[in-house]
Amino acid sequence: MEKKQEYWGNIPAWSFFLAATGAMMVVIVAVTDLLGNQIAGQINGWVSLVSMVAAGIGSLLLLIELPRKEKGHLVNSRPGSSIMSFGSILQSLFIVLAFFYATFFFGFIPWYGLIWLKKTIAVIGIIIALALVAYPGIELGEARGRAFWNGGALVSVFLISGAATGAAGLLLLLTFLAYGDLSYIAIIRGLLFGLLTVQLITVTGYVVGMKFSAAEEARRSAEIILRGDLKGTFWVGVIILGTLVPLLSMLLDMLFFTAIGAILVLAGGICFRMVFLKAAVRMAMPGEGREGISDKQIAQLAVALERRWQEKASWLNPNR
Amino acid sequence: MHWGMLIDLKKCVGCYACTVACQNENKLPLALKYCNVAKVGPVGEYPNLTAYNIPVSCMHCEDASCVHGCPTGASYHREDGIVVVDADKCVGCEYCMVVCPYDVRRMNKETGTVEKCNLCFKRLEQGEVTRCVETCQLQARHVGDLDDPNSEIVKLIRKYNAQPLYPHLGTKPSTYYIMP
Repeated sequence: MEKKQEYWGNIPAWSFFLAATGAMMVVIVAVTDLLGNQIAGQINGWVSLVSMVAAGIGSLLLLIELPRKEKGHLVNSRPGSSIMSFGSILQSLFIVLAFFYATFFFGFIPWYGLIWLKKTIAVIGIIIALALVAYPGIELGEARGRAFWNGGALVSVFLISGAATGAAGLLLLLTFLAYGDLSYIAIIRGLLFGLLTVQLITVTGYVVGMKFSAAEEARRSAEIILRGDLKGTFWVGVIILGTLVPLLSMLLDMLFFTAIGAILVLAGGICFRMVFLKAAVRMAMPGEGREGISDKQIAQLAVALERRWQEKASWLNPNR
Repeated sequence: MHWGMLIDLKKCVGCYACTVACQNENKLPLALKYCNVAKVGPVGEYPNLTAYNIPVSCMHCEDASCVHGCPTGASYHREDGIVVVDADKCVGCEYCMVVCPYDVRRMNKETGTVEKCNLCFKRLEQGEVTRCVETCQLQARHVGDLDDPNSEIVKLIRKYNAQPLYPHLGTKPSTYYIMP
């Protein structure tokens, strides 16, 4: 069986997922707030706090996985040249901004009424959140020997998945906060429906595109996803339960099914990241994975050898 | 000054002497190898088949993904072109292992840091050759200055049209191979 990407496993996948979900929740509520939606003013504070916690847990998970946690702060030391360092700083900035943005929605905060400052923070927050959602695609794309991650659309795929999980997270929070009877939930449901449709096309398109890539390791990666070790997680987790079933549930226009659909989208989002992280096999080194000669190869060589003997025999004894 | 290595695959018999010598030099645990020797083949079109051995360790790439990607600056280029890991700065995030296309970096589970071949830079500074070069009985390995057009290594690279492994990746490796 094909060996998977062996270094980064489920914890980085969870970290990417939590950061992306939190960040896109803030993007959606901040945009709707900037557009003047009344509901946003009632819920944005709580949404921002939840996003901050999600991104914070994502950061903590990465820290937990580091063998040398006491030196974890060093990860932030090269934002100008290391994309990982840049991403770490983005995540920290996002956590601070999400908290600051949340404060504008609670009346006891001294700067509660400063609309211009709230809008400025919202715009900066949106930019940083989008960068945070996109950065795993850039980070993984740095691996030159893993062609599965080198596709130009990887950043878009991560952005779309992040947007879908962000919208799903927001829907769940709206249900929890009992805003389910308002029109705002219909807007987010419609947005999620559109995002899931795009996700279905882009995710499957990316994997199938890799199946026909010129790079041999990209084709092996796609094979692992479509028919190999990760086929269950991909087909059941990402496509059926994570995309198709939620799409149907959004059509039903019932709060209960919307909430179930949102939970499935979140589950699909984590499955997507696990699959895309693990599937990216490295370009094979010469002699790598070499096993003993197979029976089939022996048979082929035997046939070729016999043919060669026959040829030689005809040269040596042309009259026979 | 740019240190590089040349490995003659026509001479290498896959005895693993370089692997063992490297482990001794760097006092590595048995499971940790900076230099691996892979058996390749038989390859080619029957009946013109060949089999060879290929030692693979850090390529000390000029455009090294590990150096660019390292978030702490633990992996860096020395002035003489050697890529080294500063164990004090390494946090063990394994990003360098993810991005290295040659799979030559190893996690030392005892220290929690990533390690790899450092081209025996301390020996080179003292005017000696690397331990693997010194050990190779068939003189399949050569180390020298790639910036010096008159160095033995550059002459051999030109003479045998030696090539790095997977040059299309654009990492500009400093290890060259004379192909069998």
